[in-house]
Amino acid sequence: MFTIDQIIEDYGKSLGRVASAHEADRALQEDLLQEILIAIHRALPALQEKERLAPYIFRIAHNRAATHVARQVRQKQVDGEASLAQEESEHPEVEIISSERVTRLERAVRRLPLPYRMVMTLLLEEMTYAEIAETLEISPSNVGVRVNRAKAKLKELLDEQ
Amino acid sequence: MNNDDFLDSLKADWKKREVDLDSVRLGMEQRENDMRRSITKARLSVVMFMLGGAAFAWFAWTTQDALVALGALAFLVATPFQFIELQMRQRVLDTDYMASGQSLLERGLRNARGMLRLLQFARWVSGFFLLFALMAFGLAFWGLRSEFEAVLIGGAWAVAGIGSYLLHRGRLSEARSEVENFQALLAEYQSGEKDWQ
Repeated sequence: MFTIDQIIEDYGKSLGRVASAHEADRALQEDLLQEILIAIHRALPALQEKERLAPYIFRIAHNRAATHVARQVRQKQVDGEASLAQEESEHPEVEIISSERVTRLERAVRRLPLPYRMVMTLLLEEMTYAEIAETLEISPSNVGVRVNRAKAKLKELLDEQ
Repeated sequence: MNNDDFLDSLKADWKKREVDLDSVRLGMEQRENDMRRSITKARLSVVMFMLGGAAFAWFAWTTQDALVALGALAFLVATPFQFIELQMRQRVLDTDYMASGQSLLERGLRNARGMLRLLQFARWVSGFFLLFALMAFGLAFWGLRSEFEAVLIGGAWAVAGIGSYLLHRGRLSEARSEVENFQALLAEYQSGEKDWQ
């Protein structure tokens, strides 16, 4: 029997990272994470019957994130140059390198086209190709192709920064 | 750096991001309460419009007054619209755990287009309410109806028209952007699908 508290404990951080892959604004990231958790909470009775929870949890997260991005009218402005300035102003001038690297990575992941962003996020969460395929309802060979393209594109985006 | 090293370093960086789970729990509880309140408000709005329509219809029946009947008609036309909006609000809460990315975006686009059409219709409804209010005030001004009736009937229409306008003001442009965003996301998603085939 899964409870929402248990899911927050087990998947909360991962889901927070999924939210950051789709939304640049910190406050809206938290909003999105709450939306995802509420959707999971509402789906819990149906999810109790599932043998493995992770694919469904992440599918809900990605579905919520995709609709959130579409509904966020100001998203495109926030995700552009404006967010760069905002993210930089949130950190002190002497920023620790690891935090800078995390910010750069998140920004690059957000700039990936949606299908690549989805596979890359799941891959970074240590999911196998089979699990990613189950989550996104695509074939494992499609996952492989998308992962390779996403990696190449991500490398390109990181080099640009 | 080979491909696996590159991926491992990305994974290590990715997991450094901290999430304040206590704050998320609190926010989630607050948001669930807000959603419940929003649905309750929408339900109340449906009931108010139904009661308004019924009251005007009864008044029109007893007085055999065409102007009041027009008011009843306006309320009764607006009621299904309010009901559909309630349905759409509830649909936002759908859990969509079985939907694939593409089907979800297609459904989102359909819903966004539906909402846009509803809001466009709502603008007309607001206009009609205000027009009826002006008619009622005009009839009182020309001495064809009593001032009491003008204030009662025209006032109710004016409140309904202005209220409906204020409720939907700004949402129309948001709905247009939402349709555009869904179209763009769907195109992005489909291009990713086609790419590998």
